[in-house]
Formats: sequence, structure tokens, C-alpha cells
Amino acid sequence: MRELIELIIKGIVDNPNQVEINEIIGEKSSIFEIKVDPNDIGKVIGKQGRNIKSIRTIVNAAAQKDDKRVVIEIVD
Amino acid sequence: MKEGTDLGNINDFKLSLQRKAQTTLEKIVNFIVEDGEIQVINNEEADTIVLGIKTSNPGALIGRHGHTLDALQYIVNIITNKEIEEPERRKIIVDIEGYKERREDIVSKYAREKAEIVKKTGKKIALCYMNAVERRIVHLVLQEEPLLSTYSEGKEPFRRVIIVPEENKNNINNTEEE
Repeated sequence: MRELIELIIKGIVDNPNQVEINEIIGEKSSIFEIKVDPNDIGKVIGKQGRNIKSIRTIVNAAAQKDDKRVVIEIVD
Repeated sequence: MKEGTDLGNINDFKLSLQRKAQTTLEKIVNFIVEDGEIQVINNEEADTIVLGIKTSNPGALIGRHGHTLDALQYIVNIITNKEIEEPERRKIIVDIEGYKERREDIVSKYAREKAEIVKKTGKKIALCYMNAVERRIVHLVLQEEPLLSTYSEGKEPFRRVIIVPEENKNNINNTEEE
């Protein structure tokens, strides 16, 4: 799951070297904390949150086969 | 008219974007299904790249109301067109086993059915919430109906088409003119 999130986030930001992903594993869900270059936060979120919403949709489609929920949070 | 040499470069450029889109989509898709293959589907339009997904599990990639397919298309567009200036950008369409065509048929049929009811009852009807592509299909399908008109209202993702009978349409026009 981390690889998928990394692939997408690094593909849309200007500064892929600054992408950090921290996974907090729970029983039924995993939380992924994403840290990017402050200038890239807007790119990850997108207009009216459309980018992050699409990322969440794709990641949850991938998580379905493991019967897990994935939460993605962007942290400062 | 474009000169031969220009055209050659443009085609090379489109081909490289096509490959980028194809590889990106293939990587993402195979996190969701195990046997995703991406084909480039020929199309006439120079500024559009159409990609078709082949898999034994299309449902996982389409998602509820096609939301996953919409998200895949949206993200692949962003990643592929990144660092490309506006006039050179290509619109990437992602389809799966003819889903979009089938969806177009379903939406058209649904719009026509509701239009008949509006004509019979003379009362306006609000259709279910749809994305921009599907709302456009409804407007186009009912465009030539002389007794009806259509418009969209609401904020995404709760935007929907309203079908209004001719009578109301005239009323709206009249009030505007007065």
C-alpha cells in the first residue's frame, strides 16, 4: 500500500525527494501520514480537494482485497 | 495545416506521453487487480489518448457508480501531463471493457424515460446526481426535444440535471424578458 501511495504522490508533486510516508498499522485500518514539501501541499490536495479524494478512492480500492480500511492524512 | 517535419515531431511527442500514461496506469491498476493490462485504443482526435484496461476483475477498477474509474483517469491525467505546457497537454481517457459506452447507453435511456414522464405530467423532474460527463450526455440526448429543456443545479458531487416542460421554459423566458 505504501508503494502505491508513494507512486501517486511522487508523480504529482514538484519535489519527490521531500515525500515522507509514515504508516501506523491498526487491526482494521492503517493510517498513512504523508509529509511533503510545503510548496507541494496544494498539489496533493488539489482544487476543492479533488486530488486527495481521488488518491483516497484508488488506495481504498487497492485495500479492499485485504479487507482493510486505509486512512490518508497530510501532516505539516 | 502542419508541415511534414512538425507532424513527425508531434507524433513522437504524443507517443512518449502515451507510453508514460500507459506505464503509470499499468502500475497503479496492478495494485488493485492482479492481471491488469493496458491497451492503447486508436482514436481520431490528436489531443486525446484512449487507454483500455483488460482484467478478469473489472468491478474492482470501476467501483461504485464508476468512482474508482473516474479517479484513475483523473490521477493518470495529472501525472502524465505534469511539466507539460497547456497547448501540448493530452486528454487521457481510461475505459474498461466498454464500460463508458454501456454507461452512455444506460444514461441516455434513463434520460429519455424521465423526459417522457415530464411530457405526460407537465411537471419538472430532478434526475439522480451525475458527474459532468454523464450530465453532458443527458443535455445532448434531450437537446432536440421541442417540448422540454434541461439545466443542471447543485454543487459537485451533488449536481444533477433538471428536466423542465416547455410551459415552464416559456415562463422562465417571459419573466426574463419582462
